[in-house]
Amino acid sequence: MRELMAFEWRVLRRERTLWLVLAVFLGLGAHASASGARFTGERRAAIAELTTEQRARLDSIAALMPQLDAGTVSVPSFLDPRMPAIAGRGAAAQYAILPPGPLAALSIGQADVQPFWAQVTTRTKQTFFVNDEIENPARLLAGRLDVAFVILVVFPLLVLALTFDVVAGERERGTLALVLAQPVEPRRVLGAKVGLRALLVAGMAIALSIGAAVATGLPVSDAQTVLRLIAWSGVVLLYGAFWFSVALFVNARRLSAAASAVALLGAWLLVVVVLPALAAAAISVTHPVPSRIVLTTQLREATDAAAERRQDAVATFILDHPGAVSDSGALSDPLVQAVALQDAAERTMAPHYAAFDAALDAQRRAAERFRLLSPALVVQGALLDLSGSGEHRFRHYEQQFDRYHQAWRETFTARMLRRERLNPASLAALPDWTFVEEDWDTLGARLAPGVLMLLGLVLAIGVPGWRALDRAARTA
Amino acid sequence: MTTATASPLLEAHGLTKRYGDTLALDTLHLSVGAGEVYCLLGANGAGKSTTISCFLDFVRPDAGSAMIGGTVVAQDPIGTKRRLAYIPETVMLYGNLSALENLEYFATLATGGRPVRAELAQHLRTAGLTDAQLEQRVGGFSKGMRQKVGIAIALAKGADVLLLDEPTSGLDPKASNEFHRLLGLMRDRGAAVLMATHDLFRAKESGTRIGIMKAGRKVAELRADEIGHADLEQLYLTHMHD
Repeated sequence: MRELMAFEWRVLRRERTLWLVLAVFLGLGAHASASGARFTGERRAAIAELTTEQRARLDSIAALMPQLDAGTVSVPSFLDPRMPAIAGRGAAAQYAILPPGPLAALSIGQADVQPFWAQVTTRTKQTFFVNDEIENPARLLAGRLDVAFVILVVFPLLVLALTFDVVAGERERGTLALVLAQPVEPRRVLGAKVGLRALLVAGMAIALSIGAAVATGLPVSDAQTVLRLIAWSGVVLLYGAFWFSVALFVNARRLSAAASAVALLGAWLLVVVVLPALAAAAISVTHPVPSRIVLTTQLREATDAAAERRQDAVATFILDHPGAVSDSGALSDPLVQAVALQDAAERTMAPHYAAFDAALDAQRRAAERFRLLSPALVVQGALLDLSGSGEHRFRHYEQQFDRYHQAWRETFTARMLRRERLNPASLAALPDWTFVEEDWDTLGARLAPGVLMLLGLVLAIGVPGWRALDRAARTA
Repeated sequence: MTTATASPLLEAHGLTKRYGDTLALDTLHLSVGAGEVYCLLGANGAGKSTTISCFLDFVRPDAGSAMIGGTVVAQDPIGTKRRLAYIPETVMLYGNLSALENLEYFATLATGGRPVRAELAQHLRTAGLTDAQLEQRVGGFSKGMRQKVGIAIALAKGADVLLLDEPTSGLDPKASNEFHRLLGLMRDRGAAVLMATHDLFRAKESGTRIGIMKAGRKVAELRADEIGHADLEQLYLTHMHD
């Protein structure tokens, strides 16, 4: 078998088309890697600036506090960082940063349109995710070329270019008759042809994944990255195996090489373009995106309504925080009143927020179901998940953000009601933001259905395809 | 010229093959012994190529059997292919490989082992290729040169049965003559040759026996040395117009 594969390689490597296709594939892979590296580089730079700014601001406040206490410096009360309402609303605010995913450089996905940081204050959550990042709208519209795109769209074409005429080509060139006249099982000859191409495809998948990881500067010595990279390569291999199976199946139909090529291109168009477009259209009809504009309008209305019933709002707030108010002066404190109004507005908004989140969750669940329509969507979801650029990781960030925001507000509300003043020690003891990645069990459970579906497809198409191909190759 | 031995290497017993409503072979009987060249003449569609395909196991007969060396082809296709070499009208090779590389591949398939390059080169030379041509890619080879590679494959394989399907069709007279010289070489080495051809002249010159086929049936069989060129042509035309 090794001799036959070596011969097959000798034939294949002299095909100029092979090198042309490989050059295009690798060229796109290199460009995509560079694009991914640039994206994560920009993200890291932005995060470094945010961290530096926060550090400098907190240091400056910590230095100012003793001077204010000593009376050597004075600032207007609405700028006094010792006041919990002032500190909590902005002066001591911290950035809740979503770092680039472990393999973000390989798959940018929707990460370029999702916010990756927010300054946490005692304000409502709705005011946070309107940050100041400016992105080229044309680039946002077109999306960035990333390695995942090359794998999803171009990699299948490479597989099909290598395999579309594995039998038909031999038959049309007339070499099959001479091969079949030899005392060898057609299965062995076919095995060498298919085996070599399978090795090439697998090699390409691994080379692109590992090569891109190294080229984009991912920390390949980090265990988390390596594990994800192994899983990523496994998914890419499975995707390659799927297209390989489809090619075997079509080859076994005894079509001409041209007809095989057309049939396989049709399959590619269906799986990579048509089905994903249909899935997106179906989701937009069955589960439309809830309107943020409506939500914002509702919030304004709720805030106005709370302001109109200011006394009621403050009374309810005090009742909800028994024992928290240190003296009756707090009731007339405009800052406490502002918090009470915000609290009342959010109380009104709670069912709207819940409905909004439920609609988003339903849409996400629908997307997960529709994903199973196309192997390309399954792989896209898996690559996004593994790279950490997907919807799930962002949702995971949002959930941590909500908890952090809640803790932040509780901390400052309690201090505000007690009319405490902050000092450098209490500043240092404020809740710190740390993003925790999803655990492997959660990630694995989410990936499993898609991976199993792909594996099932490979077996369901590949095994009968191989058998039929073996039969087809027995006739010259 | 050696004479045929008693036990035939190639035999067709009542070979019958139908494609839909068309009877491609109708109870064909023939036998070819070692050192014998059996030429099958007939118009297109007479069943010549189908006969050869049955011996190659490319086509399974509906009735009857094709045998090589006493073994039924359909029962042991791999075993029977070890003994035969096949040269179609145009020997299609891997155009990006040299003559030697092509021979290396087919010899590997034929023998299951790793052939010695020096021996392969010698087979190509015996078949009439020059040393310079051995390393040339066959994509630029003429039809005659490809036929020579086909003969070299038969030599490398040590085949004692040769199945030729209109091998000289389209060859110029010089190449055709050269091919028949090589055919004589194989015959003299004791090979049994079954050749489908339209070339009455070459059939008479190189053949030991001649069978004329029409509509899947063998309508005449004669020894080549018992008939003249003109008589053969007359006989052929008579059968074709019946």
